[in-house]
Amino acid sequence: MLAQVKSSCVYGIDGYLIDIEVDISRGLPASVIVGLPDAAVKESKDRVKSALQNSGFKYPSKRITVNLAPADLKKEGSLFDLPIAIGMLCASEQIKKVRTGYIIIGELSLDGKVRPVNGILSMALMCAKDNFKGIILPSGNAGEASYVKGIEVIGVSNLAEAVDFIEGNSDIAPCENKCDAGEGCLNPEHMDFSEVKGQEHVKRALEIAVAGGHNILMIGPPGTGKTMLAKRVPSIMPDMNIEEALETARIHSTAGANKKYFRDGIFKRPFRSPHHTASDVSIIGGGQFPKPGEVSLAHNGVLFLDELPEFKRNVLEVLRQPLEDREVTVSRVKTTITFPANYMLIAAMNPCPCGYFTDQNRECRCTPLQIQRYISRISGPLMDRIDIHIEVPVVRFRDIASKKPAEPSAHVKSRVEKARKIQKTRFGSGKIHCNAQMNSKQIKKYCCIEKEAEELLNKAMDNLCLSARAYDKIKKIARTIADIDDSPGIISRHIAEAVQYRSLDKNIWPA
Amino acid sequence: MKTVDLARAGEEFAVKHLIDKGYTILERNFRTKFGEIDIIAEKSGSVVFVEVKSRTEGTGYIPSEAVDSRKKRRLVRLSECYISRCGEKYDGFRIDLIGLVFKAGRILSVEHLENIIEG
Repeated sequence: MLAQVKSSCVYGIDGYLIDIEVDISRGLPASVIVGLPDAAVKESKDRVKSALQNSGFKYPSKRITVNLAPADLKKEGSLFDLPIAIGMLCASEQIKKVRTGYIIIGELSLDGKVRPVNGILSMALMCAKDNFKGIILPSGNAGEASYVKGIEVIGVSNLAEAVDFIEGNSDIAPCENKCDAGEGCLNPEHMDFSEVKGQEHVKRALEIAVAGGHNILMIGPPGTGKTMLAKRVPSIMPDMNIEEALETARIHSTAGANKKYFRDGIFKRPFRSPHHTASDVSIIGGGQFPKPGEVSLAHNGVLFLDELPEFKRNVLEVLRQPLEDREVTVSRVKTTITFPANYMLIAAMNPCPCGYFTDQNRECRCTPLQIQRYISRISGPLMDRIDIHIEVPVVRFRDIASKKPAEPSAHVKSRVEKARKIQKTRFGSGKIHCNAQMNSKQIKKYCCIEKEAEELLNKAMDNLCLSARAYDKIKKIARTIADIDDSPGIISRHIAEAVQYRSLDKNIWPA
Repeated sequence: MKTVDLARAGEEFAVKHLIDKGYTILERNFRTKFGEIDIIAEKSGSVVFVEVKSRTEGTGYIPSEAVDSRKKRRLVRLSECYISRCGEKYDGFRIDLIGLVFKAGRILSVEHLENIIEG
């Protein structure tokens, strides 16, 4: 007897339809799985055997052939256990009638329980796109799939439950769709800018960075709140729409996101902060079957690199391509996969090896050569992609002690959203969405500087010995500041502020 | 008791055991060029190839240990040989092991393991 079951698997972050064919024929008892299975898929026959026997079914003692089609795609993972088990039951006529139109996914434990798997969201999206009626999946994954519109999400906790549903003996209520429920700001950790006392100019710089999509580098002595500020940046970013949220969640789903991610709701912007010992593969993504790295996990959110010069040189260099293309292509012998990687880079560093070069109260013990070496660990091309450099000074005690509450994130966020809207109308449906992505031609077109401001900029260029690179960057930042100001032209005030955000270009650094 | 006699007695007992359980004996000592199957029996449409192992108590060996992967491969080959000759009437096949322990010429324990080989 031949049986067919529909299932799915994930490549990169996309779900693919897999047909599982089970044929039971005469012969000595043997079971083979064909269709390029990897070790975890091959092992599935042993799990399926025990699961069937321990759930009160009979494991057919005949010749069983399982084919995973299309046969040229490599299959990995344990998610085919449940569909293979269902296929065997159909082929051995232990299941007589079958509800069609469902995709079946799940790992089995030896006692017949259905265990959660990775990448459910991508598969559920594929299921909706290919007009399937629904998806039968581990109950532990039901919450994840319920963000997808237009399909029934049937969570099962054991094999017997799945069989009852497929035979039509019992109905399982589909999981409630959460797609619209969680929209809006979800901030379960309640991280808010109002908790940071003082550092008003850094907050302003972060606001500009978020508004214009600029990358930012914070430079300051230890203990000045760089990390604290960076962690609160997602709270001032505009809300994600459902498409953005799903795309981000999809990446986390394939990478094996913990349950917490989906419990918190997928509308929270990710904040990734890899330690500086991270390897290039962990940042970019990789593996035999490539898995997304930190840059992709930070998609639509923040990638925070604390102690930037401590990162290995090659790790910093691999960041360049995703910063430019907003996606990253991982090539391996078996597959080539492109992951989205549209993130905002926030970096933090000390001004010198001892950390106190810009501190007013403490003596720096570093030689100019040491400082120069420290700064030059960050290569020019990477620096080129960071628009804003901001010095974070030591917080004054009276700021810390003050009872006056700082501005809450919600206020900042509304300004950011307004500035983003202006940029959206400016760039229309073109390739770029924010000021930071402008090339020099677009800078010329959109950054119309008023005469007075032009003079100020020229003076600043001369007096501060700014480079040609800095010239363009200043104009870009000034454009964003003007957008926050809701001003069509760039005036001297905007230029004056923008010039301040290029501290590394100033000649106080022994470079 | 000599080893040959022990094996012979074991097979006799296994046959009785199978008949008691409702099997029909199709062949005994089915011989081919590369070996023989001790018993071939049939029950409700499926054929069972039985390997009988007999041991004396106290020697430290248990019968089921005696079937290693080489022996298993041989059993598979032999069964396939039988299936190709006269298997078309049946639709299920399996290989069983009957392990017997003797003590002073009498049966001490019987162990019938079904379906010992699965690919």
